Amino acid sequence: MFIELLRGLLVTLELFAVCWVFSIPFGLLLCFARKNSLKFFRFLIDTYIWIMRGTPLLLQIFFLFYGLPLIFPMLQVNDRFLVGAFAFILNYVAYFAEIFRGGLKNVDKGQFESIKVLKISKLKAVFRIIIPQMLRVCLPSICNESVALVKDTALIFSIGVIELLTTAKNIVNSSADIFAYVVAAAMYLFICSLVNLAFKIFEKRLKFE
Amino acid sequence: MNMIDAININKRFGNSIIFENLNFSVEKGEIVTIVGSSGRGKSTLLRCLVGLEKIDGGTIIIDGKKLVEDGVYAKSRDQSKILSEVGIVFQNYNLFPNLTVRGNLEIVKNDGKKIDSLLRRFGLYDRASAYPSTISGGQKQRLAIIRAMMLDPRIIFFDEPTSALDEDNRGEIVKLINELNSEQYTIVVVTHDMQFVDCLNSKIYEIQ
Ligand SMILES: Nc1ncnc2c1ncn2[C@@H]1O[C@H](COP(=O)(O)OP(=O)(O)OP(=O)(O)O)[C@@H](O)[C@H]1O
Ligand SMILES: [Mg+2]
Repeated sequence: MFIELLRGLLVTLELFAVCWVFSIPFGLLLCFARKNSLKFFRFLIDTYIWIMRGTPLLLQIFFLFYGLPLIFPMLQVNDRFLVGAFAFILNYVAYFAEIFRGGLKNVDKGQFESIKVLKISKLKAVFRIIIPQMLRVCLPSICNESVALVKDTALIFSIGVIELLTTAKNIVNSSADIFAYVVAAAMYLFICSLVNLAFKIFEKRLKFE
Repeated sequence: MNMIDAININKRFGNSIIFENLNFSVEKGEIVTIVGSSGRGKSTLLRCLVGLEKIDGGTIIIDGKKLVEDGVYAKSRDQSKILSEVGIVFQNYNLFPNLTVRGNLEIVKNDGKKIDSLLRRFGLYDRASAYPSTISGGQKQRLAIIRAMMLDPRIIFFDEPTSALDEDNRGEIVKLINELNSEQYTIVVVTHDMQFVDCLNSKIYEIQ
Protein backbone atom coordinates (compact mmCIF):
# COMPACT_ATOMS: atom_id res chain seq x y z
CA MET A 1 0.00 0.00 0.00
CA PHE A 2 2.71 2.47 0.99
CA ILE A 3 4.60 1.85 -2.18
CA GLU A 4 1.50 2.62 -4.22
CA LEU A 5 0.76 5.75 -2.23
CA LEU A 6 4.34 6.89 -2.57
CA ARG A 7 4.07 6.39 -6.31
CA GLY A 8 0.93 8.53 -6.27
CA LEU A 9 2.69 11.12 -4.14
CA LEU A 10 5.47 11.27 -6.69
CA VAL A 11 2.99 12.13 -9.44
CA THR A 12 1.43 14.80 -7.23
CA LEU A 13 4.83 16.28 -6.42
CA GLU A 14 5.87 16.19 -10.04
CA LEU A 15 2.75 18.05 -11.10
CA PHE A 16 3.19 20.58 -8.31
CA ALA A 17 6.85 21.19 -9.16
CA VAL A 18 6.28 21.54 -12.89
CA CYS A 19 3.39 23.97 -12.39
CA TRP A 20 5.16 26.01 -9.79
CA VAL A 21 8.39 26.29 -11.72
CA PHE A 22 6.60 27.53 -14.82
CA SER A 23 3.76 29.57 -13.30
CA ILE A 24 5.91 31.86 -11.16
CA PRO A 25 8.26 33.18 -13.86
CA PHE A 26 5.50 33.38 -16.46
CA GLY A 27 3.25 35.09 -13.94
CA LEU A 28 5.99 37.66 -13.37
CA LEU A 29 6.51 38.04 -17.08
CA LEU A 30 2.80 38.53 -17.68
CA CYS A 31 2.65 41.11 -14.90
CA PHE A 32 5.49 43.16 -16.39
CA ALA A 33 4.17 42.70 -19.92
CA ARG A 34 0.84 44.05 -18.76
CA LYS A 35 2.44 47.07 -17.16
CA ASN A 36 4.59 47.96 -20.14
CA SER A 37 2.39 47.21 -23.09
CA LEU A 38 -0.04 49.09 -25.24
CA LYS A 39 -3.65 49.40 -24.19
CA PHE A 40 -4.75 46.69 -26.59
CA PHE A 41 -2.34 44.09 -25.21
CA ARG A 42 -3.16 45.09 -21.68
CA PHE A 43 -6.79 44.47 -22.52
CA LEU A 44 -5.91 41.02 -23.90
CA ILE A 45 -3.93 40.13 -20.80
CA ASP A 46 -6.67 41.39 -18.50
CA THR A 47 -9.23 39.34 -20.41
CA TYR A 48 -7.06 36.27 -20.12
CA ILE A 49 -6.66 36.74 -16.36
CA TRP A 50 -10.37 37.43 -16.03
CA ILE A 51 -11.33 34.19 -17.79
CA MET A 52 -8.77 32.06 -15.97
CA ARG A 53 -9.79 33.33 -12.57
CA GLY A 54 -13.49 33.39 -13.33
CA THR A 55 -13.99 29.82 -14.49
CA PRO A 56 -13.38 26.53 -12.66
CA LEU A 57 -9.97 24.98 -13.08
CA LEU A 58 -11.74 21.68 -13.60
CA LEU A 59 -13.60 23.12 -16.57
CA GLN A 60 -10.33 24.42 -18.00
CA ILE A 61 -8.76 20.98 -17.69
CA PHE A 62 -11.74 19.35 -19.42
CA PHE A 63 -11.71 21.98 -22.10
CA LEU A 64 -8.05 21.46 -22.86
CA PHE A 65 -8.17 17.67 -22.85
CA TYR A 66 -11.61 16.86 -24.26
CA GLY A 67 -12.88 20.08 -25.79
CA LEU A 68 -9.99 21.48 -27.78
CA PRO A 69 -9.30 18.29 -29.82
CA LEU A 70 -12.97 18.28 -30.88
CA ILE A 71 -12.55 21.69 -32.47
CA PHE A 72 -8.96 21.25 -33.63
CA PRO A 73 -8.21 17.54 -34.10
CA MET A 74 -4.54 18.32 -34.64
CA LEU A 75 -4.36 19.45 -31.01
CA GLN A 76 -5.06 15.94 -29.78
CA VAL A 77 -2.33 15.16 -27.23
CA ASN A 78 -2.37 11.78 -25.61
CA ASP A 79 -0.10 12.47 -22.69
CA ARG A 80 -2.70 13.17 -20.02
CA PHE A 81 -0.18 14.41 -17.50
CA LEU A 82 1.22 16.89 -19.99
CA VAL A 83 -2.16 18.33 -20.92
CA GLY A 84 -3.18 18.48 -17.28
CA ALA A 85 0.02 20.23 -16.26
CA PHE A 86 -0.43 22.67 -19.11
CA ALA A 87 -3.95 23.52 -17.91
CA PHE A 88 -2.66 24.04 -14.38
CA ILE A 89 0.10 26.32 -15.61
CA LEU A 90 -2.29 28.40 -17.73
CA ASN A 91 -4.53 28.80 -14.71
CA TYR A 92 -1.88 29.51 -12.11
CA VAL A 93 -0.01 31.96 -14.31
CA ALA A 94 -3.13 34.13 -14.19
CA TYR A 95 -3.34 33.94 -10.41
CA PHE A 96 0.35 34.65 -9.92
CA ALA A 97 0.24 37.52 -12.42
CA GLU A 98 -2.56 39.05 -10.38
CA ILE A 99 -0.61 38.65 -7.15
CA PHE A 100 2.48 40.20 -8.71
CA ARG A 101 0.42 43.08 -10.05
CA GLY A 102 -0.52 43.92 -6.49
CA GLY A 103 3.13 43.69 -5.45
CA LEU A 104 4.28 45.93 -8.28
CA LYS A 105 1.67 48.53 -7.42
CA ASN A 106 3.06 48.55 -3.93
CA VAL A 107 6.57 49.54 -5.01
CA ASP A 108 7.01 53.24 -4.31
CA LYS A 109 7.00 55.56 -7.31
CA GLY A 110 10.17 57.12 -5.94
CA GLN A 111 12.05 53.87 -6.59
CA PHE A 112 11.39 54.16 -10.31
CA GLU A 113 12.49 57.79 -10.22
CA SER A 114 15.76 56.90 -8.51
CA ILE A 115 16.31 54.16 -11.08
CA LYS A 116 15.74 56.62 -13.87
CA VAL A 117 17.94 59.45 -12.65
CA LEU A 118 20.72 57.04 -11.68
CA LYS A 119 20.51 55.45 -15.14
CA ILE A 120 20.32 51.93 -13.78
CA SER A 121 19.67 49.49 -16.60
CA LYS A 122 16.16 48.02 -16.90
CA LEU A 123 17.25 44.44 -16.36
CA LYS A 124 19.33 45.23 -13.30
CA ALA A 125 16.56 47.39 -11.88
CA VAL A 126 13.91 44.73 -12.34
CA PHE A 127 15.90 41.87 -10.85
CA ARG A 128 17.78 43.66 -8.09
CA ILE A 129 15.35 46.35 -6.99
CA ILE A 130 11.79 45.85 -8.19
CA ILE A 131 11.30 42.09 -7.87
CA PRO A 132 12.79 41.82 -4.35
CA GLN A 133 10.53 44.63 -3.17
CA MET A 134 7.52 43.06 -4.87
CA LEU A 135 8.28 39.71 -3.31
CA ARG A 136 8.43 41.13 0.15
CA VAL A 137 4.86 42.35 -0.26
CA CYS A 138 3.34 39.38 -2.04
CA LEU A 139 5.20 36.49 -0.48
CA PRO A 140 2.29 35.58 1.84
CA SER A 141 -0.10 35.48 -1.12
CA ILE A 142 2.34 33.42 -3.17
CA CYS A 143 2.61 31.04 -0.24
CA ASN A 144 -1.18 30.69 -0.03
CA GLU A 145 -1.43 30.10 -3.74
CA SER A 146 1.33 27.51 -3.63
CA VAL A 147 -0.40 25.60 -0.86
CA ALA A 148 -3.62 25.77 -2.88
CA LEU A 149 -1.71 24.34 -5.83
CA VAL A 150 -0.54 21.37 -3.77
CA LYS A 151 -4.16 20.52 -3.04
CA ASP A 152 -5.48 21.42 -6.50
CA THR A 153 -3.18 18.86 -8.11
CA ALA A 154 -5.80 16.26 -7.14
CA LEU A 155 -8.05 17.70 -9.86
CA ILE A 156 -5.93 16.06 -12.53
CA PHE A 157 -7.68 12.77 -11.65
CA SER A 158 -10.50 14.12 -13.81
CA ILE A 159 -8.62 13.26 -16.99
CA GLY A 160 -7.40 9.95 -15.69
CA VAL A 161 -4.01 10.72 -14.22
CA ILE A 162 -3.48 8.61 -11.14
CA GLU A 163 -1.98 10.78 -8.42
CA LEU A 164 -2.00 10.59 -4.65
CA LEU A 165 -5.69 11.06 -3.96
CA THR A 166 -6.80 8.71 -6.75
CA THR A 167 -4.38 6.08 -5.54
CA ALA A 168 -5.79 6.35 -2.03
CA LYS A 169 -9.32 6.13 -3.36
CA ASN A 170 -8.51 3.03 -5.36
CA ILE A 171 -6.93 1.37 -2.36
CA VAL A 172 -9.90 2.24 -0.15
CA ASN A 173 -12.31 0.91 -2.78
CA SER A 174 -10.56 -2.41 -3.09
CA SER A 175 -9.67 -2.94 0.58
CA ALA A 176 -12.78 -1.44 2.22
CA ASP A 177 -10.44 0.20 4.74
CA ILE A 178 -10.10 3.96 4.96
CA PHE A 179 -6.56 3.91 6.30
CA ALA A 180 -5.16 4.87 2.89
CA TYR A 181 -7.11 8.14 3.11
CA VAL A 182 -5.49 8.89 6.45
CA VAL A 183 -2.04 8.30 5.03
CA ALA A 184 -2.80 10.40 1.96
CA ALA A 185 -4.10 13.21 4.17
CA ALA A 186 -0.94 13.04 6.25
CA MET A 187 1.14 13.28 3.09
CA TYR A 188 -0.75 16.35 1.84
CA LEU A 189 -0.41 17.95 5.26
CA PHE A 190 3.28 17.26 5.30
CA ILE A 191 3.86 18.80 1.87
CA CYS A 192 1.75 21.86 2.61
CA SER A 193 3.57 22.40 5.90
CA LEU A 194 6.87 22.08 4.11
CA VAL A 195 5.81 24.71 1.58
CA ASN A 196 4.68 26.97 4.40
CA LEU A 197 7.94 26.53 6.23
CA ALA A 198 10.02 27.25 3.14
CA PHE A 199 8.12 30.50 2.62
CA LYS A 200 8.50 31.53 6.25
CA ILE A 201 12.25 31.12 5.96
CA PHE A 202 12.34 33.04 2.70
CA GLU A 203 10.18 35.77 4.21
CA LYS A 204 12.67 36.26 7.04
CA ARG A 205 15.47 36.67 4.55
CA LEU A 206 13.52 39.34 2.68
CA LYS A 207 13.14 41.67 5.65
CA PHE A 208 16.01 43.95 4.69
CA GLU A 209 17.00 44.78 8.23
CA MET B 1 29.53 80.85 -18.15
CA ASN B 2 26.28 79.43 -16.84
CA MET B 3 25.76 75.89 -15.71
CA ILE B 4 22.01 76.06 -16.09
CA ASP B 5 19.85 78.40 -18.10
CA ALA B 6 16.10 78.07 -17.95
CA ILE B 7 14.43 80.47 -20.36
CA ASN B 8 10.70 81.14 -20.35
CA ILE B 9 9.87 77.65 -19.25
CA ASN B 10 6.26 76.56 -18.80
CA LYS B 11 4.81 73.60 -16.99
CA ARG B 12 1.21 72.49 -16.76
CA PHE B 13 -0.49 69.47 -15.24
CA GLY B 14 -3.68 69.16 -17.24
CA ASN B 15 -5.33 72.54 -16.95
CA SER B 16 -3.42 73.81 -13.96
CA ILE B 17 -0.43 75.97 -14.70
CA ILE B 18 2.44 75.20 -12.36
CA PHE B 19 4.79 77.86 -13.72
CA GLU B 20 4.79 80.07 -16.76
CA ASN B 21 7.62 82.02 -18.40
CA LEU B 22 9.96 81.17 -15.58
CA ASN B 23 13.53 82.33 -16.03
CA PHE B 24 16.53 81.54 -13.98
CA SER B 25 20.18 80.76 -14.31
CA VAL B 26 22.86 79.16 -12.24
CA GLU B 27 26.50 80.02 -12.71
CA LYS B 28 29.19 77.37 -12.63
CA GLY B 29 30.24 76.61 -9.09
CA GLU B 30 27.63 78.66 -7.31
CA ILE B 31 24.97 77.76 -4.78
CA VAL B 32 21.45 78.70 -5.71
CA THR B 33 18.44 78.38 -3.47
CA ILE B 34 14.93 78.35 -4.81
CA VAL B 35 12.36 79.34 -2.23
CA GLY B 36 8.60 79.58 -2.27
CA SER B 37 5.75 78.31 -0.20
CA SER B 38 4.31 74.83 -0.40
CA GLY B 39 2.65 73.75 -3.62
CA ARG B 40 4.29 76.43 -5.75
CA GLY B 41 6.05 73.95 -7.98
CA LYS B 42 9.55 73.87 -6.53
CA SER B 43 9.81 70.10 -6.65
CA THR B 44 8.25 70.09 -10.10
CA LEU B 45 10.92 72.49 -11.32
CA LEU B 46 13.69 70.22 -10.04
CA ARG B 47 12.00 67.23 -11.60
CA CYS B 48 11.96 69.04 -14.94
CA LEU B 49 15.67 69.82 -14.62
CA VAL B 50 16.62 66.19 -13.98
CA GLY B 51 14.40 64.79 -16.71
CA LEU B 52 11.66 63.24 -14.58
CA GLU B 53 9.06 65.65 -15.97
CA LYS B 54 8.83 67.33 -19.35
CA ILE B 55 8.28 71.03 -19.66
CA ASP B 56 5.56 72.25 -22.01
CA GLY B 57 7.47 75.16 -23.47
CA GLY B 58 10.71 77.09 -23.14
CA THR B 59 14.39 76.28 -23.23
CA ILE B 60 16.67 74.52 -20.78
CA ILE B 61 20.40 74.65 -21.32
CA ILE B 62 22.71 72.62 -19.12
CA ASP B 63 26.43 73.33 -19.32
CA GLY B 64 25.97 74.90 -22.72
CA LYS B 65 24.01 71.99 -24.16
CA LYS B 66 20.37 72.30 -25.04
CA LEU B 67 18.19 69.79 -23.28
CA VAL B 68 15.05 71.48 -24.61
CA GLU B 69 14.82 74.29 -27.09
CA ASP B 70 11.50 76.10 -27.41
CA GLY B 71 9.70 73.10 -26.03
CA VAL B 72 11.42 70.60 -28.31
CA TYR B 73 13.54 68.03 -26.51
CA ALA B 74 16.90 66.79 -27.75
CA LYS B 75 17.21 63.23 -29.07
CA SER B 76 16.95 60.74 -26.28
CA ARG B 77 20.62 59.72 -26.43
CA ASP B 78 21.68 63.38 -26.25
CA GLN B 79 19.25 63.99 -23.41
CA SER B 80 20.80 61.16 -21.49
CA LYS B 81 24.28 62.59 -22.04
CA ILE B 82 23.21 66.07 -20.97
CA LEU B 83 21.41 64.73 -17.93
CA SER B 84 24.49 62.85 -16.80
CA GLU B 85 25.71 66.24 -15.57
CA VAL B 86 22.99 66.37 -12.94
CA GLY B 87 22.38 64.44 -9.75
CA ILE B 88 19.49 64.79 -7.35
CA VAL B 89 18.95 64.14 -3.66
CA PHE B 90 15.22 63.57 -3.26
CA GLN B 91 13.26 64.96 -0.35
CA ASN B 92 12.65 61.47 1.04
CA TYR B 93 15.92 60.19 -0.45
CA ASN B 94 14.31 57.25 -2.34
CA LEU B 95 17.04 54.87 -1.26
CA PHE B 96 16.64 51.24 -2.32
CA PRO B 97 15.41 49.58 0.88
CA ASN B 98 16.26 46.04 -0.22
CA LEU B 99 19.92 46.88 -0.79
CA THR B 100 22.54 47.59 1.84
CA VAL B 101 24.30 50.93 2.08
CA ARG B 102 27.04 49.57 -0.14
CA GLY B 103 24.50 47.86 -2.41
CA ASN B 104 22.76 51.18 -2.99
CA LEU B 105 26.02 52.50 -4.43
CA GLU B 106 27.20 49.36 -6.23
CA ILE B 107 24.04 49.15 -8.27
CA VAL B 108 24.76 52.59 -9.68
CA LYS B 109 28.39 51.90 -10.46
CA ASN B 110 30.45 48.95 -9.38
CA ASP B 111 33.57 50.83 -8.40
CA GLY B 112 34.74 49.52 -5.05
CA LYS B 113 37.56 52.02 -4.62
CA LYS B 114 35.34 54.98 -5.20
CA ILE B 115 32.62 53.56 -2.96
CA ASP B 116 35.07 52.92 -0.12
CA SER B 117 36.54 56.37 -0.27
CA LEU B 118 33.13 58.06 -0.37
CA LEU B 119 31.80 55.91 2.46
CA ARG B 120 34.86 56.78 4.57
CA ARG B 121 34.64 60.42 3.80
CA PHE B 122 30.95 60.66 4.69
CA GLY B 123 31.26 58.58 7.84
CA LEU B 124 29.30 55.60 6.56
CA TYR B 125 32.08 53.08 6.17
CA ASP B 126 31.18 51.08 9.27
CA ARG B 127 27.53 51.01 8.22
CA ALA B 128 28.30 49.70 4.73
CA SER B 129 26.48 46.41 5.26
CA ALA B 130 23.46 47.90 7.04
CA TYR B 131 20.09 48.28 5.36
CA PRO B 132 18.65 51.79 4.92
CA SER B 133 15.83 51.11 7.36
CA THR B 134 18.38 50.73 10.13
CA ILE B 135 20.43 53.91 9.68
CA SER B 136 19.66 57.39 11.00
CA GLY B 137 18.03 60.19 9.04
CA GLY B 138 21.30 62.07 8.64
CA GLN B 139 23.04 58.90 7.49
CA LYS B 140 20.30 58.25 4.95
CA GLN B 141 20.74 61.73 3.58
CA ARG B 142 24.50 61.31 3.30
CA LEU B 143 23.97 58.00 1.52
CA ALA B 144 21.60 59.71 -0.91
CA ILE B 145 24.26 62.37 -1.54
CA ILE B 146 26.98 59.80 -2.16
CA ARG B 147 24.67 57.87 -4.43
CA ALA B 148 24.02 60.99 -6.47
CA MET B 149 27.80 61.53 -6.68
CA MET B 150 28.47 58.04 -8.06
CA LEU B 151 27.92 59.15 -11.65
CA ASP B 152 30.16 62.22 -11.24
CA PRO B 153 27.59 64.92 -11.90
CA ARG B 154 28.63 68.57 -11.95
CA ILE B 155 25.39 69.83 -10.49
CA ILE B 156 23.63 68.40 -7.45
CA PHE B 157 20.02 69.27 -6.76
CA PHE B 158 18.60 69.05 -3.25
CA ASP B 159 14.87 68.95 -2.63
CA GLU B 160 14.03 70.21 0.87
CA PRO B 161 17.20 68.85 2.47
CA THR B 162 16.25 70.05 5.95
CA SER B 163 12.67 68.81 6.01
CA ALA B 164 13.46 65.47 7.65
CA LEU B 165 16.31 66.63 9.89
CA ASP B 166 16.54 67.94 13.41
CA GLU B 167 18.59 70.99 14.50
CA ASP B 168 21.94 69.18 14.82
CA ASN B 169 21.78 67.63 11.40
CA ARG B 170 20.81 70.94 9.87
CA GLY B 171 24.23 72.39 10.68
CA GLU B 172 25.71 69.24 9.22
CA ILE B 173 23.98 69.59 5.86
CA VAL B 174 25.01 73.24 5.59
CA LYS B 175 28.59 72.13 6.14
CA LEU B 176 28.27 69.37 3.57
CA ILE B 177 26.77 71.61 0.94
CA ASN B 178 29.50 74.19 1.42
CA GLU B 179 32.11 71.46 1.24
CA LEU B 180 30.69 70.06 -2.00
CA ASN B 181 30.50 73.55 -3.39
CA SER B 182 34.16 74.18 -2.64
CA GLU B 183 34.92 71.09 -4.75
CA GLN B 184 33.43 72.70 -7.85
CA TYR B 185 30.03 71.14 -7.55
CA THR B 186 27.28 73.49 -8.56
CA ILE B 187 24.47 73.25 -6.02
CA VAL B 188 20.79 73.99 -6.41
CA VAL B 189 18.66 73.76 -3.29
CA VAL B 190 14.89 73.94 -3.18
CA THR B 191 13.46 74.77 0.23
CA HIS B 192 10.95 76.74 2.21
CA ASP B 193 13.17 76.78 5.27
CA MET B 194 14.32 80.40 5.45
CA GLN B 195 16.57 79.83 8.46
CA PHE B 196 18.44 77.28 6.38
CA VAL B 197 18.69 79.69 3.45
CA ASP B 198 20.25 82.24 5.79
CA CYS B 199 23.00 79.76 6.64
CA LEU B 200 23.92 79.21 3.01
CA ASN B 201 25.88 81.72 1.03
CA SER B 202 23.66 81.51 -2.01
CA LYS B 203 21.88 83.32 -4.77
CA ILE B 204 18.18 83.23 -3.97
CA TYR B 205 15.30 82.83 -6.38
CA GLU B 206 11.75 83.08 -5.26
CA ILE B 207 9.01 81.18 -7.05
CA GLN B 208 5.70 83.02 -6.94
N1 LIG C 1 2.11 64.46 -11.28
C1 LIG C 1 1.30 65.49 -10.98
N2 LIG C 1 0.08 65.59 -11.55
C2 LIG C 1 -0.73 66.62 -11.28
N3 LIG C 1 -0.42 67.63 -10.45
C3 LIG C 1 0.78 67.60 -9.85
C4 LIG C 1 1.70 66.53 -10.09
N4 LIG C 1 2.82 66.76 -9.36
C5 LIG C 1 2.60 67.92 -8.71
N5 LIG C 1 1.39 68.43 -9.00
C6 LIG C 1 0.82 69.70 -8.50
O1 LIG C 1 1.73 70.71 -8.83
C7 LIG C 1 1.81 71.69 -7.80
C8 LIG C 1 3.26 71.88 -7.41
O2 LIG C 1 3.74 70.73 -6.76
P1 LIG C 1 5.22 70.66 -6.19
O3 LIG C 1 5.37 69.34 -5.52
O4 LIG C 1 6.15 70.97 -7.27
O5 LIG C 1 5.21 71.81 -5.11
P2 LIG C 1 6.35 72.23 -4.08
O6 LIG C 1 6.60 73.67 -4.28
O7 LIG C 1 7.50 71.32 -4.18
O8 LIG C 1 5.61 72.03 -2.69
P3 LIG C 1 6.21 71.50 -1.30
O9 LIG C 1 6.93 72.67 -0.70
O10 LIG C 1 4.99 71.17 -0.51
O11 LIG C 1 7.08 70.35 -1.58
C9 LIG C 1 0.94 71.17 -6.68
O12 LIG C 1 -0.28 71.88 -6.72
C10 LIG C 1 0.73 69.73 -6.99
O13 LIG C 1 -0.53 69.31 -6.55
MG1 LIG D 1 8.29 69.82 -2.92
